[in-house]
Amino acid sequence: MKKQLKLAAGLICVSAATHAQQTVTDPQKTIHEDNAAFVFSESQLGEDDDVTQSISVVSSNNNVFTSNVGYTFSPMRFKYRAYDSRYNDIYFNGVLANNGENGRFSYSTIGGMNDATRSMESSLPFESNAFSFAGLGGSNNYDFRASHYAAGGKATLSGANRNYRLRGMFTYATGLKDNGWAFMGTVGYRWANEGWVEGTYYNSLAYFLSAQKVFNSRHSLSFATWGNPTERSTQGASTDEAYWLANDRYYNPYWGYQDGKKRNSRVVNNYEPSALITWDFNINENAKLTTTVLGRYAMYSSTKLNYNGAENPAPDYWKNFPSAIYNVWDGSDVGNTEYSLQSWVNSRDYWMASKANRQIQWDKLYYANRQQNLTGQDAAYYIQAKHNDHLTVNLASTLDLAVTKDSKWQVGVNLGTNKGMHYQTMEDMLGADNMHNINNYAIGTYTAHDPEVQYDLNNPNGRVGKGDRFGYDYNLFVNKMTLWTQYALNKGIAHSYIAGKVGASHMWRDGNMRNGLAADNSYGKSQKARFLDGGVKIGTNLNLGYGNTLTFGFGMEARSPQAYVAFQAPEINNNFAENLRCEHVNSVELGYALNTSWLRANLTGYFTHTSKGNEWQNFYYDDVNSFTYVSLNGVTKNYYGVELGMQFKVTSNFKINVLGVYSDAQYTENTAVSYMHSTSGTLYHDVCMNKNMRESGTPLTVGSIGLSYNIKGWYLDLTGNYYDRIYLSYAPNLRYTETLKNMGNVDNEGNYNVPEQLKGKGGFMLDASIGKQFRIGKNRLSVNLMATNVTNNQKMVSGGYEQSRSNYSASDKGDGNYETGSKRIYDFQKNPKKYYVQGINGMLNINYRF
Amino acid sequence: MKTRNIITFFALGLGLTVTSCMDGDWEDPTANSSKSYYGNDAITENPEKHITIEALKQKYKALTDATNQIELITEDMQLKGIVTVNDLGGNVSQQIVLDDGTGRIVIGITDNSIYAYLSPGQEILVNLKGMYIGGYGKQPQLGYPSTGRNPSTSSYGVTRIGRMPKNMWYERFCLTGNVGQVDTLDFDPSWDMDKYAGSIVRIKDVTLSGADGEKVLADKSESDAGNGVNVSINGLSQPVTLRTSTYADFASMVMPQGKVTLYGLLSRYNTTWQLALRYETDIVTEEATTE
Repeated sequence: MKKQLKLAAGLICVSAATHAQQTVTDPQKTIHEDNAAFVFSESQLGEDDDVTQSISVVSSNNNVFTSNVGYTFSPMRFKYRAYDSRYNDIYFNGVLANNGENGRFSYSTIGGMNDATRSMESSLPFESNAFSFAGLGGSNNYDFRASHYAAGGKATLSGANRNYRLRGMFTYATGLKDNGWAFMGTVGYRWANEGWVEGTYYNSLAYFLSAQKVFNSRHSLSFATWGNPTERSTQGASTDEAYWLANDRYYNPYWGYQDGKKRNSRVVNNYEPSALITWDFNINENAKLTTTVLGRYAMYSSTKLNYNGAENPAPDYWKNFPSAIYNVWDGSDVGNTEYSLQSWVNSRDYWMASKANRQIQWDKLYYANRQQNLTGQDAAYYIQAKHNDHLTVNLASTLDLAVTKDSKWQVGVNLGTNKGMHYQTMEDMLGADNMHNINNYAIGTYTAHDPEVQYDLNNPNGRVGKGDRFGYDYNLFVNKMTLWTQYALNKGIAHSYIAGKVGASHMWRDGNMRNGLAADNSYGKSQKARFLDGGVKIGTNLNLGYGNTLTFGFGMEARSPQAYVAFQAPEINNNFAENLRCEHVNSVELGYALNTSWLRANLTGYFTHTSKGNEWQNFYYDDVNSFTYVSLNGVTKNYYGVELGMQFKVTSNFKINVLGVYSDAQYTENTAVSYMHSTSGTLYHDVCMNKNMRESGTPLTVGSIGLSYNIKGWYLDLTGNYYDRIYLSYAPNLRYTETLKNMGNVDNEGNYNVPEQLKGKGGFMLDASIGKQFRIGKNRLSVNLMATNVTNNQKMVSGGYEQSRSNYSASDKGDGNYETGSKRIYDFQKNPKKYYVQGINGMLNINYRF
Repeated sequence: MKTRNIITFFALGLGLTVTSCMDGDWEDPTANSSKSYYGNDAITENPEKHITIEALKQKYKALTDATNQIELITEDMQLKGIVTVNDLGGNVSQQIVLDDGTGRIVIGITDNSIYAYLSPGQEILVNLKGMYIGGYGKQPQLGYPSTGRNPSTSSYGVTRIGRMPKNMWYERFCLTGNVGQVDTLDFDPSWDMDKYAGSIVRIKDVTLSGADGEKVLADKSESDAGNGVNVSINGLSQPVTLRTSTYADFASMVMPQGKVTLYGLLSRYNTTWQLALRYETDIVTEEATTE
């Protein structure tokens, strides 16, 4: 045992070497059980890119489709039913763990501790369960009780060519000992000096410790604590033109050479130490009370290279492209002359001449800042960090009663309080000596002396140095309470249930800076918004005999808006978004399941209608040279589809899995929009013509055939997947009626010609896995090699976004009016920013259990 | 497995949290470097290639006096002069003016932060071969041909001298390391435009037309197709137009009423003088000048 400990420890320390961990300061942006290890794929962890990809992991052993789909389709970032992950509820020992502000669960916070998250009870949207009113996108309840982990140890060493290169994990569980104690611990480390995307690195330590004391048959107390301090740098999406010029579909504009070394401008630091205590009380053989308290302090920061009055330093800034000089889309453009063609050639040659030319030129930025120092000017370039920290306490208590042998009744309460701390800090002045806390975006609309340009009137013209807060600093407070109950009954051929919940949500903002654009309405507490929410759900399974089951479910909910969408421009003022109401969600599902000795099949159809929802985004809007805060009010959407899962047990060694889904998820009405720019505090109103826009970043059509074969300790899997109907996210401002008028996209009858939503690209992907288990004395060694995208299909685009800038150089006439100038040579609408899927990639896992 | 070993192991793992990080402190790479990070270090001063700005302007006078004429410079010639104005302040945009004591010429560059690497007073060498020269309103300019694409303007489809791509500019200039004096001349309306357009000037004791205590220098609602607003300067024997871009940092500054002294870049458009302020401090009210 000692030797094994030293070996494992040595391996992990070697891999850590000089690349160890900095502890840190948002989450924005069926688990596949193979014999080697649980693995959350990187895309499930939501770490692949800078776009806030919300991920849901749904799995239920009862359903062939859902028990396979989460992991199998993760390379294309498949989202169950295209739902945002805020509809997917995650519980730890019965307490809700979703973020109190945006409602999402950040899987990255439990990444790297695969052995700890192995035990999970999951519930599909219309399945009855003992821990919750099931979420629209399903609910998962992780069990962190030390006595529930199989006793023994496990050491894992993995090599990969993904976001990380090396992984080491060590787990030990005592199981429940005679003295009533059980302990479990796991520690893991994932590392890459450079991941598969150039200019990215990965450094993550994960730890999980759990202890449990079973006092007697009635009482037990569990304690668990975990965290995974992570530092990683990220990949940015770029355009097809950039990928062509760089001759690399994974060209990453976020890094550049500094003094010959690679430096990435977008570094994420994330650490969310958490702890929970669970009291299990078996009141009697028919009644059980489970109470859990969970506390977390999340520290999330993400850096960004920013500029102050200077030229945008992004290497893929649109003006740097050859297609900004010569119109490649319309040869008859009057600007296409021999001169612009020669200029296009020069630009292309510059891009292709060397890697340094097409990445961030850090040395130049430092030089520019030194020039600024000579004249006492503020930094032209600097690295800022956006922080989203959360202090969260949640409490849940559930009473589970077996009323009769055929009926069960649960009643529970979930309470949560969340303090979200949002602020920006100066991360690196890049050699500059001076910086002041001034809203430079607003200079021009106001002069440098006007109070409107101050970010903090309580400290005007405040000097900003490394580590100082500037720009914005505010807290969002959310208190939530939910009471839920469920009654399930087996009667005759039917297993039915009815569940209901009622709750309340209470939120407010507390600003720590007095923004000049909202001097009376930014510092201190906002008004408080209160919402009452609730829902009811019914479901039934009819056992028709001979393995046939019919399922039906119906649910209606009114959901409180998330604090994340509730404020119009929280970086600037205390105002709530307009028309803030509970979102109405109505959903229905009909399913058929077949379970025989050789075939398990599930066929399910669903339809969900949501209305009165609110959505919120902020992005840098080039047309007006400012940030814009966009609130969509009264969002109405339909989600519907058909899911099929079939598992054929051809022999005891050979299985065939067939999965398929055809779905859609669309806005069904145009949406009222209110928006504000960071250059002025004015709120504008319009209608966003987003009817028929679809959910983005997930394939709406998927088909899969998988073969699994095992013999004499060997495990072989081959899966072919087909993905299609992937949409890129749309820019709402390009569909405002005002923008469409300015662009001339409206006819004499007032009909708008709304730009179509851009698409990604689907295709075929082949995945394979081979593994073998060996016995070494009483212990087991297993080796497993997994390969994704064996045919190296690099043409698939899993997601991305439309650029928000319009194709017209419009002159800002103030008050939201623009005079259309000439059409730009560069076509923003034909240049979406896209993410291509990684080519052939894999992981080799070696596990030793003892 | 002994409990002691378990604890030791976890302590090892957690100990990794306190060692150094991957994105550590980065040093300023330019701190002890003599390299120019902008411009072309390979350029050296060559007296044989040298031409004065005045001689260059004379050589191409017929071209620059004509409308919308451009020519590629094929001769290997070199200018040496000091930068008198850059784009700091956002009003003078995407251009510099070079002055070598014999004359002044505008250089148009597609770059929104020239101030990051070129400051007034810095002396540079400029290799002219490969650049284009032309006249914009009879103002000689070095740059690159540009064709008007706004169908609602008279320049639609017209090719004239515009700004050169920044990479083209970086290849053709270098800093000498010397710093010179930028002279501010007292404006004389009777000046020869050919000689004095491009100067940095002071215009004393004038008033701004339309200044009423509320009107600003460049109101967006009044801007023209070039995103600028023109204001007449009163009190001079020759008309001079004050032109301010809506992108200038001081665009929303209220125009002072009463007498002011103005500083800025003097240029011409055909036979009309134009003045472009560089910074907010280029307008000085009368009370300030008498203090």
